[in-house]
Amino acid sequence: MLSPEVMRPRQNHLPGREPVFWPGLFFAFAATSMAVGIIWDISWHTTIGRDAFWTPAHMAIYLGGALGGMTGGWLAFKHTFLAGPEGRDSSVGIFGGRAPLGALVAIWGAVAMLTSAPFDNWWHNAYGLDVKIVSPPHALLGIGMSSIIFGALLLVLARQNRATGGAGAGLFIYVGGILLTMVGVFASEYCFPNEQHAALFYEVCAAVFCGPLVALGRAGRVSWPATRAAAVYIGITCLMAWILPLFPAQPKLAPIFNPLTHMVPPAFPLLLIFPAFAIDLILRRTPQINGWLRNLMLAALMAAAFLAVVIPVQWYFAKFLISPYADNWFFVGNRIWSYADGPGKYRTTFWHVRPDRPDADLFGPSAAGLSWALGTFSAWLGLLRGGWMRKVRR
Amino acid sequence: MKPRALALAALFFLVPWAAFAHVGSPDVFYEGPAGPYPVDITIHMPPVVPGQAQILARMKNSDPVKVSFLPIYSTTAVKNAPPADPGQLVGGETNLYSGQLWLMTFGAYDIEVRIDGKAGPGSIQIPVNSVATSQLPLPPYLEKLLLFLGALLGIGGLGVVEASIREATLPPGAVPTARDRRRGLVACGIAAVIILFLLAGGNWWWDAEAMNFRRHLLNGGWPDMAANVQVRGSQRILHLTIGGKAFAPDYSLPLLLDHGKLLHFFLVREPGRDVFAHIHPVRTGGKTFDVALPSLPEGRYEGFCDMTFAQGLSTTGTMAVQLPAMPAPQSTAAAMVPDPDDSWAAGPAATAPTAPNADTVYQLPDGQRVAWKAHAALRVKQDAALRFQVRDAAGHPAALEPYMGMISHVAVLRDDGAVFAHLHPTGNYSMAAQMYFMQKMSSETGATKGDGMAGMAGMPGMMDMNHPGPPDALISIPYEFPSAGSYRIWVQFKTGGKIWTAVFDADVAA
Repeated sequence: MLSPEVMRPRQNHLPGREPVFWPGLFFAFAATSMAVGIIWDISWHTTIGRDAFWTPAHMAIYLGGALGGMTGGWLAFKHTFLAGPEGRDSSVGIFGGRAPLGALVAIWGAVAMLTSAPFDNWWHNAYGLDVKIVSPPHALLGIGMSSIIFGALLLVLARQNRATGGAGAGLFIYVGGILLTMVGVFASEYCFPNEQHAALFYEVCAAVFCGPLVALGRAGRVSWPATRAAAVYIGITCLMAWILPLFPAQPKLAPIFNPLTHMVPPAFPLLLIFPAFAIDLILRRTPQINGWLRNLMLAALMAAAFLAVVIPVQWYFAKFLISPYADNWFFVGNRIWSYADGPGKYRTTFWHVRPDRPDADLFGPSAAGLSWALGTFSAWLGLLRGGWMRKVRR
Repeated sequence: MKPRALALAALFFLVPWAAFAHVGSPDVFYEGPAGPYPVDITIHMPPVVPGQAQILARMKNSDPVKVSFLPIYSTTAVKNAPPADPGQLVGGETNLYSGQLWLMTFGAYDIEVRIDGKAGPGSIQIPVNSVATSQLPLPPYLEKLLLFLGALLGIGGLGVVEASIREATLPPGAVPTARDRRRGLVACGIAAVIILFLLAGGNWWWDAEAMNFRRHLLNGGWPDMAANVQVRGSQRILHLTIGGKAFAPDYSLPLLLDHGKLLHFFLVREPGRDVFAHIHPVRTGGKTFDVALPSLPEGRYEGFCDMTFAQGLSTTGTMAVQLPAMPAPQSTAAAMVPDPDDSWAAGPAATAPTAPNADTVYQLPDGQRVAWKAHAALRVKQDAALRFQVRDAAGHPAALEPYMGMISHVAVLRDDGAVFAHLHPTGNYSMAAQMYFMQKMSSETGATKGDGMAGMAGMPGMMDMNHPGPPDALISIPYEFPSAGSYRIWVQFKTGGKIWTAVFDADVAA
């Protein structure tokens, strides 16, 4: 016997009321604050070194987390207690409460950030101050921050997918660009220009960028969505790379092998607009298809296109970036080294490319194959996620 | 990971990488001049690297001064040191300044304490070793908090996944069907498996990081030491090999002279700790050293060997050795000439006084008496009150004679052997390392800070043979016991051309 709920007809064709604009804007601001904060914080660590709870970079991250969590919390409160039946129906239910999905994901991300704080503090005391970005508490912090940004993406997606006339599509692209920026930050340890002739760089790139680009390309409702989001990523990273070195600063931790006078910029961003354009191009010519095998083949095609563009573009662009021609404020070529990186030939040579060295990681057919496999899996996940994101309405 | 498993892992993965002056006693103390300013300095070393050292400088008077602290790494140019950190006057105090310094990498650092006041600028170099010595356990409250938040994240995450698949793509107003609910539950199940994998992966990652940390953790002696005793004529020659496992076979230990000796080797008979020796092996090879043993009774001895490597890293190696009985006297010439600064003593410690606020007195066989001045109950990380006065048989302050540049040498050992420290009236740091850093400062900056650039004899606190001892024969040693337990203290000094050793016991409360 069917339950009354099942018997109740779906109202698939009701247009629904367009969600209000401001929560998406707040979430976009929170996401921006966190992305700027994390790039600023890395610059702080590599320039000044000395860390404290109240650094402005930390404040930017906390502001983003707090704003995202509180906005999500307010939306959950509003949809649970203040909204009428119609308002409650435009949200999803969880443990007796209701909220837009994006708000729930953002709240979850805020709790994850909150959890990482005491964990990270203890980690520093137990194992020493971080000398690398990726540690378990930082991973949790990164997952929390990414969740808030993903929550922002879902919230603006719901607006985009429900609206008529393209409302919300621009904010979706912007938040998508922030998401790519965060991915770029967490992959930056493997993406130094000097590493861009080694196999690991291409494997990492394929694994971490294919999926998000495909998902954004599939879910966006403006033309060339992945390309536009990649342009946002490049724009934000470039702005940080140009603005940070304007501020005087000096290292305050010994030993100092590189006496700095200004904040260290992030490396020039990857030229993701080119592989994103290739992905957009394929998606434009391929309508949404069903069947895991077809999707897998499409993913393999997009991963191949991604690599076919990324390999030559980054190979030669990296050669330029480590050359004296890029040692200027625009490309920040030789200006990305921390206070602990003394002068040396390693700054202007590619790493892991000498076959006689134990750390050799040469990019050859097997590495290309592995990169393709990783990219295919990532793109396949991106297709699934993007297809689902395109339908998110709550 | 369980503590026992951690301990086992530590045993298996303990690859001593860095050196550690003393054993189980990482904090550094200094008492003496900084230019024209007498000052007591305490440096609480972080147990991890990178970590933050806490520095306290107590001026001997309340004249206003500016205090700052500068960290200098042994292999980095002085010009590349960061700006000195200003010390802050501690609230409620008139002469106590505090500061923190981050020590970012393993190895030898110099902390230059700068003081500027009416008498002009003054400074002192204090060498410290930046090594990981212990790991902070996860406090129970934090464990519970993290478990709670973790459970919240896990359950909340499952709820979000279930809700997202069940109804996120439905248009407003639509109601999830039974199929939607089923799909939500399936997604929830898949997410649960993924979360379990993530938790397992996170746990593995955490364990791997902890293991890596332990590879660089040193909470005992280093480097490895081996010893055997050979009887040559009427002498017992102790043959030491240092770092046989830690270093390559053809490696020659690059050691600095500390108080004129490459090694300061302490032997304590176990159990009972009733025999003590402070001797100085001489080099016979890259890693080998010999010393003629004094007339120590046979038995099993624990050995503690202080040394300072080039570039200022100091360390203490530990070992155990069985000493055979003294051979019969023979008329043949001695195989080795003993070092005149070698010394030893046997016998029980001074008896604790029965009256409150009374000195603890150790009676020497020639009638001299060494009084450990009355002090409050001893507690961890508080002043150890190591103030001793030597009086001759007539009760007058004895005429103390410097030896090895110091008016006194003191050794401290906890009853389980986990804490050992070699102390002087100037502090517990390596003076060889201090000289290394003073020379580094001098050669790189051209400065003649302090008054010790001419060599160890001119360093703060160092005394030559003709230097008169303190008129009241008072020996003051700056130190804080690092942990609770029963300690034995050997106080060595020289009078009448002979080195004497007084023995005391101390119970230190947490």
